[in-house]
Amino acid sequence: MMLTRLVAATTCVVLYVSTVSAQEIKAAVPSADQGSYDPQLTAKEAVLTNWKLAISGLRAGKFVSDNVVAAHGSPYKRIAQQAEFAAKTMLLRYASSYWLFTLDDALAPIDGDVLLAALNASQLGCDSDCSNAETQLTETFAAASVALENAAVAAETAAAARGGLADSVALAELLTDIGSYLESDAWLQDLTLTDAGLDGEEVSARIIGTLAVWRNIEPFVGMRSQEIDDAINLATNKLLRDVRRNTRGKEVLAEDSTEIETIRISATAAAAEFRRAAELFPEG
Amino acid sequence: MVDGELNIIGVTELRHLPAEWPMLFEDVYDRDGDGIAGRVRFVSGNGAPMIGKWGASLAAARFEDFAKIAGAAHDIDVSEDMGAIYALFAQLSPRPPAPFATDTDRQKFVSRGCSACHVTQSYTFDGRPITPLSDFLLHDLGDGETRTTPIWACTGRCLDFTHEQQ
Repeated sequence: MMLTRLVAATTCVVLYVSTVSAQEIKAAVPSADQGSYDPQLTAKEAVLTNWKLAISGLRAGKFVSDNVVAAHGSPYKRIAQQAEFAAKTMLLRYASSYWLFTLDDALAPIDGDVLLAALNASQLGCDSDCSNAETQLTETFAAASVALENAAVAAETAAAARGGLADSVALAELLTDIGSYLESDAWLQDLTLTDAGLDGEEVSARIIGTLAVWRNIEPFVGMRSQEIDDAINLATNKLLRDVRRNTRGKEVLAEDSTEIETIRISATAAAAEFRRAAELFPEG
Repeated sequence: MVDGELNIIGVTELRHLPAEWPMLFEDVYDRDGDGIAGRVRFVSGNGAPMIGKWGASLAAARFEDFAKIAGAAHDIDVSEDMGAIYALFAQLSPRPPAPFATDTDRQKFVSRGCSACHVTQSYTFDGRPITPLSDFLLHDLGDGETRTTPIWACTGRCLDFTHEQQ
């Protein structure tokens, strides 16, 4: 009987949660003492979500890299397919998490050559004896996996330090950090993929990966100022549009190019709005 | 639920879905320009946010949390019986079959664009490749966000289905 009721409850709650929780997230700031099963995030959890997003991205890169290593001995075509997906995923996730590495001196970016070597190995063709190509895949993705895991562990340590901050302090810090990142051109420095002709991809991921942060903390800003919430959405929408238009298919993006200047203007404008949002939390 | 039959395929396999799985496919702002945006659902975890993977809105990261949500909605406290409840669900849940009956079916599935969200990547559990055919992301299909349903196996009339028929 108990099981029957639970099965019915499970079915009902699927519908209940899907329709209710998404609507309520903007309606009230959840208290900090809810149970672990509660889908609502506290303000500080929303901040930590962005660290989690970046750390999980690095771990996703490790996951796919490990899969390539584990496939050693499989038919080369299969390994090569895995490697293609792994390289794309790993590089995208690393670039999307790049803002982390500009926040804290203890968080060193990954050596670009390690990632580039894996990308190059994933693009090797092979017609007959594939043992050399397979060895290269295994070795380069194993090295990438180690580098990504080290970066994830360092980021976890840095994130844990944020766990002791008050909600408003954590929010103000993150908003300020994002503003500084967008304003500083950090998203353009030390590009890893220039030699592979993927500047556009990398710049795009470095900025759009950062804007994902905004989605997670927007409700908490909106409750203090709808005007600033709207201003950030306007600025980030323009930045997104400019990034898409000026990075897609671009193999090389010079610092003084028209494309970068357009993005820089939009990024600086968005940064100013993030700084205004940070000031909504003066206790921070 | 169809004709009184509860579809709970893959409970054990879902429990072992790698935590970072949705991050393999996350694309909040449709960065790649394929017309599809999807976001990871983060849920509360006593101070540490976790990635949701259970339920139609990905409301829980763990089976135990999802069972508590289900129980609470019907005033049933399931905390004490959690081990037994999981064991029952796992026992009732069939193992997912192979995702496709033939390579042709797989190719059709991919060429029709289904694999953009019902991804064909696999993870390994218990020495077997597991293919949930889901990115476990939330997508907005025009009437609110919903998770990509894990299909587990696309056989029979599955290939005739489109979202427009919903």
